[in-house]
Amino acid sequence: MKKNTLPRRALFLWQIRACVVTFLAAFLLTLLLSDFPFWHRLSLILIGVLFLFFFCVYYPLKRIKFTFFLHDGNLILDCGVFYNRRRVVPLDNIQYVTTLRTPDMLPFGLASVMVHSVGTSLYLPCLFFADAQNLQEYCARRKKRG
Amino acid sequence: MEHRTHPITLLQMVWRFLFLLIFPVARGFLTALSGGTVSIWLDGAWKDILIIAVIFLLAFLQWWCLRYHWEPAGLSIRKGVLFCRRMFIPTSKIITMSLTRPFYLKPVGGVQLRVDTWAGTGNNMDISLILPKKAASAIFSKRENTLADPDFTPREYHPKGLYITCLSAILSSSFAGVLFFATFISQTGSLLGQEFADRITGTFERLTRAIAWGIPPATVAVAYLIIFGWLYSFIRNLIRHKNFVVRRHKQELLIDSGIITNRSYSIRLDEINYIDIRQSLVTKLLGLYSVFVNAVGYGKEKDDISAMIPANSWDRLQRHLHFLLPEFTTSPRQVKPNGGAIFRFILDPLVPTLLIPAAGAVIAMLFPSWADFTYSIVCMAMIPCLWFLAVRLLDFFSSGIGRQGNIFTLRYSSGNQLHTVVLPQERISQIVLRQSPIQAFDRRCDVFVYSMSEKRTRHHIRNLDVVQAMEIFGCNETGAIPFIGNQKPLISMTEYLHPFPHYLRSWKPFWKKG
Repeated sequence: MKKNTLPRRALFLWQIRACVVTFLAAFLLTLLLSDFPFWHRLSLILIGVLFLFFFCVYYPLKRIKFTFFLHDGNLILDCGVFYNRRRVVPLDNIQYVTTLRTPDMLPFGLASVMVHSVGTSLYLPCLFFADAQNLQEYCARRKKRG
Repeated sequence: MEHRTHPITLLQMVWRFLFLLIFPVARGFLTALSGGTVSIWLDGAWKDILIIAVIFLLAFLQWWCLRYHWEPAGLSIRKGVLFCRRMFIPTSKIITMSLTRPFYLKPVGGVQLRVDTWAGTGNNMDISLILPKKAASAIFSKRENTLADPDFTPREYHPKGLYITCLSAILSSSFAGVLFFATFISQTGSLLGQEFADRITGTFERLTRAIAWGIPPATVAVAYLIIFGWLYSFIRNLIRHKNFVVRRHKQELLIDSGIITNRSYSIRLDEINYIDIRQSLVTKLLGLYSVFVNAVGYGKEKDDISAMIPANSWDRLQRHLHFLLPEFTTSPRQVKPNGGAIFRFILDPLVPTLLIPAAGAVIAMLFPSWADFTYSIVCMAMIPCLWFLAVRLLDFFSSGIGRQGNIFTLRYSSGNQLHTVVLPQERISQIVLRQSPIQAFDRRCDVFVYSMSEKRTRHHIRNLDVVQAMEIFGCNETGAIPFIGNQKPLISMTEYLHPFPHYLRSWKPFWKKG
């Protein structure tokens, strides 16, 4: 049985984002708290711990646990890091699908997909752009047939 | 031919332009500030009169340009003075149409016609017009004729007065009443003068002291406020649900109710999302059930009706339900929580049930002079906690999921209500199986079923077996289709989550047997 997972470069992108955010936070804290050495060091340590947690634990787990597949007219998505979630969306109830590409996704050829159903929506982050387009077209074609 | 709405709509339009009164008010304020006299203010009164005339003129123009036309294909509306807007709602897209005759529109012969479709926001109806009674009734009956089938014998259900009373009691909450009384008492001073407000407060204080019977008067005051609040809410619900009648046509459900404000609803049967059989703790003990319908536009606005069968015993309810909506049949529980899940159910109410007395004891120890009052407040606060605990215990013994063909029966509790939701598969918008790290060791999960609705509507069933839950919703990995790419297979979610996958047993649901 085959399921679709997120590409490795998605993890790489998230880790780059974590690095950038950490660097910016550290820079701002240094700028603002350099006169208070104790608080400055404490906040930098906290940020470092958070960075290591996201870099080494959260994002790798997020990628490993994120899979999706089609089954019996449903789009099924497994996700979650601490809490495991399986989301099931009947394809017939999907209203429309949108793809989203942020500037940092472009060099990696990635795109996020938002599946809008009646009253709910489903977010699939950082798929290959071609796969995102496939998914969008598949849902649109199915909707036309329905 | 296009028609205009009822002239009373003018008042609605005037209300929209009332903000223009800011100019006369500002002029008076500035005159007073600059030391001007009444005569100076009167000299410029023509400006105020002009603004009032403008308000009425704008309202009149808006009303004049608002026209509607009903034809078999749908309802068309034209509005706007400078920017003309045309709207057409096809008959096939109208899910709910309702007529409301509030007491203040009765003397002028006005009726509010409301139309709702899947489009628009979840808070307001798509179209709301005040029409002459004759025109509104004609539109309503034309829609009724469109959906009627001469070969189908209409079915009608008139509930007994006792059941209506029960429903009103179920729907009543002290909160709304307390809010009303609190606002009433606080606003009396500003409307009728401080002396009158003091008199009401004084009478209330004397009354509570007279009938305190040894209980601290402050506690009695709170208790009476809650009781009177509940009574107020109960009477309002009783008036709203009096003369309740349900009629079933082939493709339509017609519901009428109310005495002071009369309400009529026409709901397309194929657009009913689900039915909800509700029980509170009291009705559970009395063995009574109420049925509510969820459809776009039904029970949407404040004071709308959302019930279909007020209150009945289970056998009678099944009979009435089969009579009115045979498409929605309940099925027994097939997936249910295990015995060890009881803590998952009672943990939420158990925390305040234990903490409140402890906090009360600490406060009484710190402030001995307030001990009596503290203990009485603790006793009152314990009532909703114990109530909640009892509801969760009942939920534990009754919650679960059943399936018959493509109809699911979801049993769960939300707040202090026990729900039995009958939901067709095609009305499910999303299913989420959520497993906490603790539940992962026990291969259990919470199931959230999102039903189709304009708003986010969620049904939460606690602590079910993950394999059984996947099986019943048909969302396990067996036979999954790889959608894109050609990637390596992964182990299944169940195997991945379970620390001892070889203990996983195969489960054959009984609806698939034979």
